[in-house]
Amino acid sequence: MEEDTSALIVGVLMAIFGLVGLFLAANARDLEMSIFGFSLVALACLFIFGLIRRHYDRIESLRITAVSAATASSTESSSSE
Amino acid sequence: MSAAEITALPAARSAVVYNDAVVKKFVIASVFWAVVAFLVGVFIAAELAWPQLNFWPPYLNFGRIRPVHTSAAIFAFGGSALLGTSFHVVQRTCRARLFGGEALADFVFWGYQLFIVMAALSYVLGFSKSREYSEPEWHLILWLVIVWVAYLTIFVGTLVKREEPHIYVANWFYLSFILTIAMLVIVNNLAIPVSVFGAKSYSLFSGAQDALVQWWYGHNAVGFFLTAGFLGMMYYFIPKAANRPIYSYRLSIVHFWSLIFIYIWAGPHHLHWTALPDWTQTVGMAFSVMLWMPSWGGMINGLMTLSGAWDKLRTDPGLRFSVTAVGFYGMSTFEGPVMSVRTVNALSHYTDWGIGHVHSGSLGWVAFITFGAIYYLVPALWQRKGLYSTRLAAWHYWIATLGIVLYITSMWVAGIMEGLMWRAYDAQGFLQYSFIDSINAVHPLYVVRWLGGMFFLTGMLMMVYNLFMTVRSPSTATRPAEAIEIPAIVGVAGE
Amino acid sequence: MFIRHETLEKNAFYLLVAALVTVAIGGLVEIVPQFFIENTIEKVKGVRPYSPLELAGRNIYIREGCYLCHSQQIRALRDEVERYGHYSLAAESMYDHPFQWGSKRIGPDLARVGGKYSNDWHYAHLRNPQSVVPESLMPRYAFLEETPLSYERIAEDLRTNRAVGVPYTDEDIANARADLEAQADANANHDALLKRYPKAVIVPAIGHTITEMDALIAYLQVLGTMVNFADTSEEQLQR
Repeated sequence: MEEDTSALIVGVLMAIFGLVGLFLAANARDLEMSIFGFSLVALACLFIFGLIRRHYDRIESLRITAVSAATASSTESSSSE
Repeated sequence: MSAAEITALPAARSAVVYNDAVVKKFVIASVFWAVVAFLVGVFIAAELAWPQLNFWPPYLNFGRIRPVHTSAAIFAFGGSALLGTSFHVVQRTCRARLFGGEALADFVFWGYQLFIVMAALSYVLGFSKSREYSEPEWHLILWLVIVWVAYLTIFVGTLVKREEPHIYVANWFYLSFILTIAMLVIVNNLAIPVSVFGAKSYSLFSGAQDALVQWWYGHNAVGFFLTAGFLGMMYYFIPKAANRPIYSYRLSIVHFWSLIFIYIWAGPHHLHWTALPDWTQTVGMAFSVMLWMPSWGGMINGLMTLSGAWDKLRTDPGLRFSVTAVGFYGMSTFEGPVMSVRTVNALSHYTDWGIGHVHSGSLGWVAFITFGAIYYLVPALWQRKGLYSTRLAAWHYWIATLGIVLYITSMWVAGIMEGLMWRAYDAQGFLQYSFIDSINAVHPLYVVRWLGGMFFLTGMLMMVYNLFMTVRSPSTATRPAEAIEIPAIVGVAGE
Repeated sequence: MFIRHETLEKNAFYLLVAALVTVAIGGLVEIVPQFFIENTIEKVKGVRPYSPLELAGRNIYIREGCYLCHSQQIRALRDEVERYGHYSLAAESMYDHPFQWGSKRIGPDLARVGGKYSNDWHYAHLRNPQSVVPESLMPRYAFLEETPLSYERIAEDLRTNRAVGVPYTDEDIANARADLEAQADANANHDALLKRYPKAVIVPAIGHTITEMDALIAYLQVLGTMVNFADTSEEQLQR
């Protein structure tokens, strides 16, 4: 639960930073500001992509744990070291 | 492992599954930035010995590259080490996973790295506020503040949800470092930008007041970033590596509160004999001298923790780094108060003695305590039996120590020589030397300083190789290997 | 009265507040009075805001990190006063946002470099420092001469300076561009410029466009020249 809430809040903030970056890059008066703006956009995109990927990875691993638990209990019951 | 155990594991351990991923990232970043910082440092040292090396103006000119060196050393290398170890320590000493989830911790990591890269780039491109150790322009500072608030949230949140009744002493130091740096950065960078779409800004303060604010910041960047934060590191990793409790709990209380109280006052010793009002200089000097005591309190607590475990120094090069670091800490926190006395400062200020002093602290204390922590952390985090080679780490230790000795002795000689030459009078009562004479005189010492830096960098490269091979060595952990196997089987079966 | 340390150790919030209060005190006691004690800054005549060209030059000085090797602060020590001139006054940097006092001398102090050397010397020195001082460690700044000064928005810089407390008038801001161009042109009429910015040094731009080097030299040439010490009484310097 905590992970999802955290990802949501950070994701929204990151989206806002990305937009700010776009805005800065579009209006930039100097090289420094446009680089900074574009970097913010890039960071926001990659970061949100990472959040989405991790979200699905987590769902996947939960499903796998559940499935593997079911298959493991039906086939072998004592394989611990 | 039985199915019941697999399903039970996450539930039973969920309260204490630490977020090690972010700590690992910070450790890698810290090692990477250390190489960058030392490399740039060696380069600018070479520029001072052989000015022809300013061969690619304006980008490689000393004035644009030096902030890259200082920022990379303090904020990139030191900062990554501090953030990483604080996340490691706070989780273990609170027996709680980092507050705010993985996403927030990752935001702190990537946000901080963005700040560092952008700052370095902006100096080279010609954007600087010209405030030492705080050169990034207003937009980058604003970004840093956002990242820092997230960092504070994670840290305090983890303290709040801790399962240990007491907050461990290392965390007091980390907390005071986070808070004070926030305060310093915000006040010192108050400025009005010419346009929100441009990088240029003008500082809110001017002249004498601006100088005092800057050195209040500058000295306490040393005091809280490079001292309090790293004392937090010392209070966790030395007891851990020595496997002994902290020598004196009472001493840690006394020296913690006195250190953070007194440090803040010491800034004006950077402005002796200047246009800053005399009363401020005197107050700054008095507190700087007083600062000697709490500093040594920390040193004593660190060193005495070793009692009964000194033999470990023979076998554990990581611990040897940590203990030597505390020794250098003691030395430079004695040198500092001496240099802050106005009469001494009249000689030492504006000379290379200051540079030597800074480096005995930053190489001897900051870098060494970090090396100690990293040599401990990497096998622990990656779950390896131990370092790839303790012999190589021992070589790193000796070559780095030799580097520091070359560095600081050459700078002492250079600094005192400059100070004496600038004030020398001849028999007729005229100034004996022109300014350029002093520059000529220190040339050999600048070469020795560069050599010292080369030694230190070489040691660092050995460390990188050692850590890389450690991570490549077989893991001692059993669970992660299984976790990888299971999905493969189920993936096929599930189709 | 006495708080048991355990209270702080067991509550993150108390610890946070206690630490924050502890670290705030020193700064408050040292810094805040600087803005209220009247004699922090001497009352001397002559210190004026930088002319637009000087301000542009100052920004180049900051950009190139000159402060890393050159201080602008002559300490009240006998040898420094003999080497560089009258010790620096707080008043002399009261319009410096930010200050440029520096912390290390790899080159000499520049607080009173204004007027010590000719414009030509500065051009030669910036182009190739070793051509005039063979042992110098200074990098070459010849590229400044090839870079046209960008000053279309110089009025905004003046306006921002006014926002942080530099007393530029509306007239100064309105004439910023014209003043800048006049200071870089030997043949222009300098009356208005010199009325607004007394002692401004004209740096005839070599060629037609104003370069960054012209601006930097205009700045260097005014450093430390604003106060006329012959007219300044000891009393005014007493603090």
